[in-house]
Amino acid sequence: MSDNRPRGSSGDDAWGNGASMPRFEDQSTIPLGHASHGSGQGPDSYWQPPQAPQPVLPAAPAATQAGPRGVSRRKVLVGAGAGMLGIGALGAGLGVFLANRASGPADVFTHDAGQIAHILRRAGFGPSPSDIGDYLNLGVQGTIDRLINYSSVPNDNLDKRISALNLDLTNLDDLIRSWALRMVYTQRPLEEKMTLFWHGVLTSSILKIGGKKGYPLMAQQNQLLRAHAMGRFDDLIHAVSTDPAMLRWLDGNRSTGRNPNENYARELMELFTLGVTNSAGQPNYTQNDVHQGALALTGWRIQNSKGVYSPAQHYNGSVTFLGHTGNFGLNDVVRLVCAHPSTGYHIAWRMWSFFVSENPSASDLKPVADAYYHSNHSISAMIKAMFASPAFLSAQAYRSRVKSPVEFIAGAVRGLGLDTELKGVSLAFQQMGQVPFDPPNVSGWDGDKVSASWVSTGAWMTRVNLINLLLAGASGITVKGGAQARGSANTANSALQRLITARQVSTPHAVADYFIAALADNQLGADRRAMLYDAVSQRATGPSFALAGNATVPAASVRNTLYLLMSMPEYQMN
Amino acid sequence: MQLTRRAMIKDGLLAVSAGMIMPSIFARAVRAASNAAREGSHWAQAAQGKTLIVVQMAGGNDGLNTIVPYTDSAYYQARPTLAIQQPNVLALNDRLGMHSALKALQPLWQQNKLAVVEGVGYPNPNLSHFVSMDIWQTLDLNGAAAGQGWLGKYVSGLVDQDGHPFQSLAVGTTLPTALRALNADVPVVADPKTYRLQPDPTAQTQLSAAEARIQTLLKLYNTYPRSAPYAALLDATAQSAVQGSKQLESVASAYTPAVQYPQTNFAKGLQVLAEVIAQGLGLRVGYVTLGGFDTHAAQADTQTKLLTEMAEGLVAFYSDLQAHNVADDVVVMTWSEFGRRVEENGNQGTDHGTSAPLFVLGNAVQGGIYGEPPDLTRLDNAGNLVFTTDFRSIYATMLDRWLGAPSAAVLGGSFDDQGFLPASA
Repeated sequence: MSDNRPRGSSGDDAWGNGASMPRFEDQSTIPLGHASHGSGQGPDSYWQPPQAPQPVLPAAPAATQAGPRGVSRRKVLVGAGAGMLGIGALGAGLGVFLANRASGPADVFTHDAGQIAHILRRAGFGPSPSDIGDYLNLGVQGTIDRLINYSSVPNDNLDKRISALNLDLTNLDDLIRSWALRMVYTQRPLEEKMTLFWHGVLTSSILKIGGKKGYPLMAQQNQLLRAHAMGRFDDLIHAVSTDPAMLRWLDGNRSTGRNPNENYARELMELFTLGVTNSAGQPNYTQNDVHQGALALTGWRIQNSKGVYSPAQHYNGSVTFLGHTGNFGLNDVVRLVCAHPSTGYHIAWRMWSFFVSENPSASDLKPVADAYYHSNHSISAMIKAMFASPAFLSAQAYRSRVKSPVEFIAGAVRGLGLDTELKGVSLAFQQMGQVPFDPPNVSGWDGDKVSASWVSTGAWMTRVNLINLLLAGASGITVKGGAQARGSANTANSALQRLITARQVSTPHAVADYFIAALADNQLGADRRAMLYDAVSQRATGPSFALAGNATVPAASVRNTLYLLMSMPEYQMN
Repeated sequence: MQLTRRAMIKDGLLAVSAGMIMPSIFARAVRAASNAAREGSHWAQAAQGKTLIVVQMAGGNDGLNTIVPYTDSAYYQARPTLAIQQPNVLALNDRLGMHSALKALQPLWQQNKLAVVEGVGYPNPNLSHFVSMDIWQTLDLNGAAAGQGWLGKYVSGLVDQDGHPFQSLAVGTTLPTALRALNADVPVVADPKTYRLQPDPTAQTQLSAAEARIQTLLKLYNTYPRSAPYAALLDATAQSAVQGSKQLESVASAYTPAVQYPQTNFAKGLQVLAEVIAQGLGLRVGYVTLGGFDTHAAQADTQTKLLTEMAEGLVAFYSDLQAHNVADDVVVMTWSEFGRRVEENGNQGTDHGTSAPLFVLGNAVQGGIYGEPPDLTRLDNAGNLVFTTDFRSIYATMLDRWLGAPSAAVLGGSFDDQGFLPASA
């Protein structure tokens, strides 16, 4: 890892006044060099060209950052293909030359836009059409800061949108929609992404916590994970250990001093905190620790949808747990598992695999685990350390994880700027293999760890068919309900027309270029871009979109182009 | 070795794998499958027309309450509330009886088509669901979960692949670890009726335009730079999906189930497999999962429901195959990552255990009890059974006697054959 790789802007002052400037002629979109892997070159050719030295941020004081910062002087270049194929250094043999593009409100073609889109995909569910412009004003570091400090970002519109739907949280479809809508329309993307992350680690499932009484408990747990998502890890573990859904899911509510139940004690250590083995491959705990931990965790019951302590059910006696002996209760167990030397690494590994890239090295994880132990177990300190790692914005991370179904669906709806109530979304989640509130088992989704698990033939077809339906503006996004869109007014058309109008494009190719930039970071090989140009240039009957200068383009051709773009491998990757 | 399209995918993957960022699990899989492809072509043609259906009972099924040792006093002492009393079991012999929820399987037992293998497990048992599942599926006794699954390894060794997209199939939405294969083109099907790419519903689309769009999409997969993470996996998945959907579409209306399947997801999954088998699509390995066996509390009701679901589903499946005259070529085996603790836990449930019995059924099966009975009075330190029968000996029997592949090449070692299939099936 090169540690001196520039990171771009640090904040509002990045563009002088923070105002958006016309920036085309002197901006570069940097080809994403996937080519150098294993060739012995530095890994970070993606975000910055070596010939464009830039200030290292955010260490420098603000005053020194005036003037041009992370900006290349080269012309706008597109086409990562050459780099990817390893046929030359950056800048040589690159694809289409895209100078002289009309400027628009969201400069999705710029280099920073690519970085910001990547950040928004990882720390959220990808950019909405207006996000890029908004976050560009903050710069790269400012974007990261705003995402992390989300508690100061107002989210009233989201709350209004959801409460207007009068969703019934005793109904499974509504429960799932209520969260999916948050992911799509939130102004605090990292809040929802952290909640999803913790849901995949500290699992509970409607498989056992179901029905009209169970679903509201799952909603309550979801809110608990959201509330504690960036706080102290000990608080999160304590809260989740007494959460009603968790007490039922892992049988803590039945465990008594006379009849301790091992279920929660085992999974608490194996999956939620320590992990099975330490870095040397030695077991972190024994079967006796499971048993003794179970004794210490007894005494919790559910009353009025709350976890309450019932001393009569608690084991009153000495236990030996993870090498410590005492008359232990929940607080002691939480303290011991959270302070365990493997826990910081285990959680760092889960985080890194989910947010950055798979199979992290020990040196990747060390700063994140250190942040945990040095901050008295602060989750936000871990996230900050992880996002500050050069690896987070590196070529290795870029498009290295397959989007999860949740990332894919929320990202597509958000990315197209669709206004939808997400009716039927739970079926789409199910057919793609990830239903929120229904992880496959207590270890969560395999895809959170190895994203290849999200790929299967059936799940892939469901993704492609979903894009097809989204573009057709089907009422709701029920995958099997293709017929319902036939003949009805296509509501997606109006969303697409708005985007095209705002961008002021005047040719079909420019329409394709805009969507390639907005949805695929403008990182597309020339040969592949040409296929999309072909698609957008097809003649078709039916409605047309108006372009600048009284030109038009058939809506069906634009849909077809977006279908290909959002179905292609680049878009499957995060 | 015959050079197939998939072999080329493999080679392409191999060529770019050195040093690229690919999760090491796939880097290792590339090497493993490359070796298998070199050595393994000889098992390609050996088992034409034979199919193995694997049923995963996820969560750890309580073996002692599935195949009940109804004369063993140690069993009754350990389970004051959960033990199944002798009058309630379906006796198999003078020592063992089935849980009454398995009643639907009783005729198969009486016809000598149902085998029970006792005491199946592995050394140094791990009480984690996930480590144990990985051990069963990847054969790595450390549970490191790298590389291919044992069934994936078998499928990867099959050379005659082109034209048979459905030589293996998993029901559901995600690929089980056991079927993880280097080729990465094991179809995963939830419902054959929706297993296709839909045309643009708002356009007056010509059939040719819809097909052209699919071809362009496949080209976009095929030309995605191979050095990008998961490029080969994505390409193989897309090609397999389209190829498979066309095959399914071409035979779609030819199958109707001959029996009424129960209205459960498990039975519906078996019906998907029956359809593919009845259509003669060349299925060698089918996989379906029934979950929910992790019965730490209030076990009796949960297990009764699940065992009923399993037995009734399997019998419907078997009857459907009989009616379509293909039952002779299909064998079913079940497995679960572990059995459960001998002593019940005080919540009318059982905690994680070790070895357990499993089922093998089919017309070719020589019914009876196999393996060795575990001793309920000589438990390990955690109070669990000591296994008597290595799980890999079940796999070896399936590979050698049914699937026509040399088991040592797949399992990486030799294991005793169990006798539940004839030696020259």
